[in-house]
Amino acid sequence: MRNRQVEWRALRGVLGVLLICALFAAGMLTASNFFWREMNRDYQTNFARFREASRHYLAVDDEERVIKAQYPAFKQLYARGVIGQERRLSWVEALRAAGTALQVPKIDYRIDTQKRYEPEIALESGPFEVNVSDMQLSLGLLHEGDLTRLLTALARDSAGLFSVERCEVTREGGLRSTLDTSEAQLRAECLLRWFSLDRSGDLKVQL
Amino acid sequence: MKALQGEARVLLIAADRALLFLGAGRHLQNAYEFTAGESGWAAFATYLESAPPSPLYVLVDVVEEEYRQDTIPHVRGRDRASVLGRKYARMFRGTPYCLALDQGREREGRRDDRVLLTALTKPESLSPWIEELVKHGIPLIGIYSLPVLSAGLLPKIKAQASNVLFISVQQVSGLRQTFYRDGQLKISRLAQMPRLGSVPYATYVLAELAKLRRYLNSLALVSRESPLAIYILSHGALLEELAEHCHNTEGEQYFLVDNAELAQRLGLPATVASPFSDAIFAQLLLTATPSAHYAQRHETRFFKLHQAKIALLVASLLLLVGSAGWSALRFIDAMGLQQQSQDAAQKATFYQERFALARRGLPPTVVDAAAIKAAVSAATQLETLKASPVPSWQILGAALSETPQVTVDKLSWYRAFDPNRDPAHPRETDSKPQIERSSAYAFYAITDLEAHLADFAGDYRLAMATIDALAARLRATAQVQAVEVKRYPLDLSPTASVAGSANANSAGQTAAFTLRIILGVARAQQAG
Repeated sequence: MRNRQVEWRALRGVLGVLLICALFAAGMLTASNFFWREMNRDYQTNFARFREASRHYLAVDDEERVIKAQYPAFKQLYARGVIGQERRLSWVEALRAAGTALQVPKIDYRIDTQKRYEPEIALESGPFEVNVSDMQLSLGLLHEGDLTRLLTALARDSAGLFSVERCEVTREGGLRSTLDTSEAQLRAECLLRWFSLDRSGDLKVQL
Repeated sequence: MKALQGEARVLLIAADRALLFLGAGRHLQNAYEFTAGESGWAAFATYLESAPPSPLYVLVDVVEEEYRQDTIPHVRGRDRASVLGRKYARMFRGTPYCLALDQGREREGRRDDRVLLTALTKPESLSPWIEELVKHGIPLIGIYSLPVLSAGLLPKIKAQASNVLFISVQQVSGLRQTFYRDGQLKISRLAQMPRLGSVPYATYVLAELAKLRRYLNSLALVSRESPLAIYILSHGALLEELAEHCHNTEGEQYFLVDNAELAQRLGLPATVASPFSDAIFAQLLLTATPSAHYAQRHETRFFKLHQAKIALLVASLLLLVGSAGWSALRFIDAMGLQQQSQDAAQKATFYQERFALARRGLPPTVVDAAAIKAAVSAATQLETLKASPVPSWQILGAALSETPQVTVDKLSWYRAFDPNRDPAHPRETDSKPQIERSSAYAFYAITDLEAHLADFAGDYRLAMATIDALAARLRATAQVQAVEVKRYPLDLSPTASVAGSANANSAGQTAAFTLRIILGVARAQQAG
């Protein structure tokens, strides 16, 4: 025990020196590392800015070409309701007009809430989000051709882009010898998917 | 580590006095003499109190050192320590200062280790000095034997003969004669040396040599094949006197070594020019310290502490220097990054300004060109994926117009990217052949037709032929990928159970069937 006390007394001073050196070393390492990290972060930020700015600058010619070639199409898509906010009123109006024109006995519809489109195939849309709204159509038809004409009229007259996902046509009440034009002969249940592209948040497109 | 031990000192202890050599770097300079006795030990204690506690070697040159040739079993570790402990206890009773020097192995038998066992048989001649050192906490490096140490001088004086007798005179102890056989210490003898000038020096040395020679002959230690090479260290007039008296014979060859030259070779100051070899051995101990020494563990405890302190200080220094170096490099690197960052920021501003100038010439747009391109591209792709049941039903209508007996009950149409997908049975993976997906098509339009044959009179064969003909007609259409009769009016498969009326008058029976028509829609093809 006495030897240990002697040893501790002898080593106490240098252990203190070692501790002070370790603390000093840790301080130096921490400070230098902190400084380096800060400088590195600044450098990465500024370098990214430089890279982006130079890329933009070098791409001005390309940009001009793209704008000249594609901006009219972009504006047209906006006018058609494909880009920008979806035009549900236009869809309903087009549906009603087509039904009236084709004398479709029954047209019921339900439009679900808009949601983000999850395509089954790769679809690159850049900063734009592709959104979809499902429209359930329940129709009473006199003839199979009514459905074809209705879909054609809807595509032509409505503001938007839709795709028919599924459609089921059932004959109502079997065959009849006479055709009652006021009563539906066929029942159709269709799902239409309306697509629209827009940017999220405050960046929504408005021409 | 040796370099960090500070100004090492050497205490050369003889029977009646001790010489303390002080270090200056790796060399020895001054020496203090202390007599063995109360006054000398007190003076030594006073010195130790006043001097800095630097490490100290103890070199012993006393008559009471014994040498025994022996063999021990070839074992290591604790076994060896145990064997040697028993040997020491038997041969050198009452002294803790024992050593075993390895000297090779026996050539025959169980090939035991040959060892030279040495011991300081009168520890009390040493203990007052050692006690003072321990009492004052002096880092004692070890207690070394002068004869054992002197083996280190043989290469320096180029003593390579098989039989070497090495003779030196120490002021503190006397005339030391050590015999080496093939470079290994075999025996050593210390004789009193009268004060220089009081007796003829050469005659006295040669007389002592003759005594040892007789002893060696009696032990038959000298090899008969080669003569005995006798190396005598001395200086000045005494060396000349020796040269006059030493004559080579067939059995003896003399080599007289000048202490001054040897001291120079060892790095001692040129002032060490004396017939005495004390300083030479002290210096040799500093420069070629033997691994074997007599010191006990408790005696070297302060040296171990001293080493630990030095190690800790070195670690502290390395930590400090290493971290300072690393931090400096990191700081320099960071300064470089700062400079590069400023350059990048300037360039970014420059290009942003240039870009703003260049962009003024572009037509105003609500989004940038990349976004325009992406939006138009995505919209175009969605257009190509637009689906409608109309094309499928036009093809079906054309086929049905040639089969007027078919009445449609239900049409189920859906779009699928996989031609084998059946929304009615999404998890079904039956064993029927799968339709291969084609890269030529963007998607597939699938129609399930449920129908029956009008005016069916019970002729199932005719009904099935009509249905097959309809299917064949559809298959002949270019866009149709596959047509499958999902259900015939009569299920003829062996796994199905069938019931009906087989009377000639089968009124009321129906011939219902189901067809699946799979249409491939090409990428460029606009459906609807």
